[in-house]
Amino acid sequence: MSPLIDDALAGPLFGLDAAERERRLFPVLAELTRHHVAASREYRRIVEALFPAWRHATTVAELPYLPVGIFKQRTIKSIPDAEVFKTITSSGTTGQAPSRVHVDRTTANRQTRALTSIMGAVLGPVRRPMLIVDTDAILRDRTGRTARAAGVVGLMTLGRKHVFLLDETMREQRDRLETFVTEHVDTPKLIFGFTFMVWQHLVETFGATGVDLSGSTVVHSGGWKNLEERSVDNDTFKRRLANDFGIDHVVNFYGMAEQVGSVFVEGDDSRLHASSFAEVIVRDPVTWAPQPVGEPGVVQVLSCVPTSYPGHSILTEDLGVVDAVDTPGDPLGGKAFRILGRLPRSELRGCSDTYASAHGR
Amino acid sequence: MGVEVRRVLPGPGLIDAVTLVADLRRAQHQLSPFHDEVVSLCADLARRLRRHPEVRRQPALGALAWWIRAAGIERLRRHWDAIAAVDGTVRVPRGVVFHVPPTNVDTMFVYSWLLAALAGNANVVRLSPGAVETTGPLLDTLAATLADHPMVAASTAVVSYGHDDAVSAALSQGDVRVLWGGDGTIAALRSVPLAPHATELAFADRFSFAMLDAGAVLGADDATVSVLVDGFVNDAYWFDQLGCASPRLIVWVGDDETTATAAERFISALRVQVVRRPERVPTSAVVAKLVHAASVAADGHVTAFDWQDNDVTVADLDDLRNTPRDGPGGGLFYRARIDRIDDLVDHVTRRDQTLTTFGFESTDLHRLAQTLGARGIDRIVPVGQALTFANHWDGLDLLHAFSRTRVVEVGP
Repeated sequence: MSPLIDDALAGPLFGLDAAERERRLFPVLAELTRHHVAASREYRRIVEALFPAWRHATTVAELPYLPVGIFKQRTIKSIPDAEVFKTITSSGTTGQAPSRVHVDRTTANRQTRALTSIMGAVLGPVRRPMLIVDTDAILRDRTGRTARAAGVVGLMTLGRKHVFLLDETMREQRDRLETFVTEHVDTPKLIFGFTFMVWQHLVETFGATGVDLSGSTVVHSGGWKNLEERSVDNDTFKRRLANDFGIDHVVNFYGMAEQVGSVFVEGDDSRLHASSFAEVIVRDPVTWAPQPVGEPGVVQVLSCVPTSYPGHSILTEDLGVVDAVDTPGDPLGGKAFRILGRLPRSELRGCSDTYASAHGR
Repeated sequence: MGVEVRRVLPGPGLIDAVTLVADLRRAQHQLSPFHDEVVSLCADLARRLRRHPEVRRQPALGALAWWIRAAGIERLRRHWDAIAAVDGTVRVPRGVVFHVPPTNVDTMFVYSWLLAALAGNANVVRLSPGAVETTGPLLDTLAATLADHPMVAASTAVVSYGHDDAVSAALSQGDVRVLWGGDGTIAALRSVPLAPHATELAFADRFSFAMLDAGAVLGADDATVSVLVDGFVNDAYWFDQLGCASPRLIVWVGDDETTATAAERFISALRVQVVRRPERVPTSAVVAKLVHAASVAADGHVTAFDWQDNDVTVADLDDLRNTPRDGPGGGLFYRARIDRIDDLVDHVTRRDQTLTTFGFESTDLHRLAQTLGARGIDRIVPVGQALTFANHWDGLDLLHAFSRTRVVEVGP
């Protein structure tokens, strides 16, 4: 199995058309499914109950997938406890249990390789001075790695001379920003942060102060949920970065704690694209069949990266839409998609625990 | 020292919770069991609810109106006469009852309040701030009704506050506290002391299920199956399958072959009926069902999972003993088979509340009720009546619980 994955990781990163992607991905993802069925009793039981015909799959879309919430409910892994190198957790929605995935050294290395190569394709080979729109306190979180910390630490390897914009109390440090700018005049710089934090701590705080960050690339992730309330969309976000700071290269990416490393990046078309070792499928929420281009649905993400836990095929709780496939002239190729937000939380009525849940007890 | 709380009924305003309980206690002295004022308020409220334009959209209002119609109250009065008829005793009210109803079953507090009022008590009902908004039409109707019944109004208060132990403590200085909100609410409020002499009725989270006779379902004509399925849809989907009495498990009684055919017939008819409802199960609830079933499957307890239809999801259990009792609602039915009714007994837990049935002999069900002994199951009712409220709830006779016995022995 490993050679297949390594081939997938070694091949061209972007630019393959949908048919070629399917031809390359299917055998690897099918092999990964067989691997996890053999290695995880829990995964085998789930797959046999929910996807009894899984052995007959002939396309990526026919392979089984796990709802992402299962990683909040229980441990599902394909390695013995002794081989767990780290556990990645994500806080998830307020009030919910965190998601936990168990990673061994092989998967951890592959996560790093995947992230570095994808981001390398976006940023080029030279490591740039890097501004992180977050607090340095996040680095002290060495034990239970939160997805946020893992994201920052993973991205840090892409830059040098790291500066954190926020102190431990999450306050913006103007002097750090000014020093960062003056020390690296005329040098391409890298700025990274979660979308909401870049907006709040960089754009809103320093937008009117005339800081010149031209020649920088902003890489951001995390979704638009909090920003939608302020009517900030991708266009507004980019326009403000360009007008206020002179930044004309802004790259959004989409990824999750359950598939660290395997990120989807924004192309010049302002759409997200899968690398050649990952795939996205938007599913009809009624039939669960893949949606045609232009029809929104529930996002499924696939990745050749994880072997230590069955996270190679996950049904997310996000809504998305594929806008185009194999657009002529698109250097990234494959599906061009957008994330439309989280599934609206249902308000099932029920009769219990209203006094307790309304007050967080 | 004052503890202020917002009163919603009768008449909005900020009032002192300690004074409120004292005022209610005084007002209660004017009342007695089945007082004419309370009885006529029930009839008046039933009339107003039946005429209310919302009743079409909210069938729960219609169910409430039906329950408090004159004949319904008369039946309760006869029941009261029966429990009060013990030689050498007089059945009297307890005093002031503090009700903490579930927010999301909007009409529940009215049942709780009226039963206590019929037993002759004064009442204070706590609604969450959110519930005040969602129960608007009902509260407006109650306000109008109370305005015409000043004596009941004086002995009634509906208040609204969030999580505030000081207010809860003041309101717990009455004579009975009724907690309807489930395990979390009970845990949160148990730390608030009651008056030393007071009692508490606590309605914990419960689990309910249906038991169907495979041979009976297979032998029934289409019209009968249609009525059965109609009733089941009401039981399961009215509260998004999250009511304590909503069935989350279907137990089939019969041999393998009969059960397979009967279950297929039942689920097909269910799918047809469910799809006629205007609401679809929201996608996030469908995903929650998937997660729940996957988690049970990971333990090895799901042998087959049918999720071709988002509204009716069926997971076959390897064995009844592995029934998960914490389902997410939204139409996820676990399914198991037993050979005979008696095989059910060992798998019933104290958490089990309502058993809805179809196709069994009365003698079999009565025998089951005896055999279950101290195990769970408080109600065995036909499919379709899971959510019908009754004076007997969770094993308690509420009229009895809202009253007490005064012994009178007169010397020769």
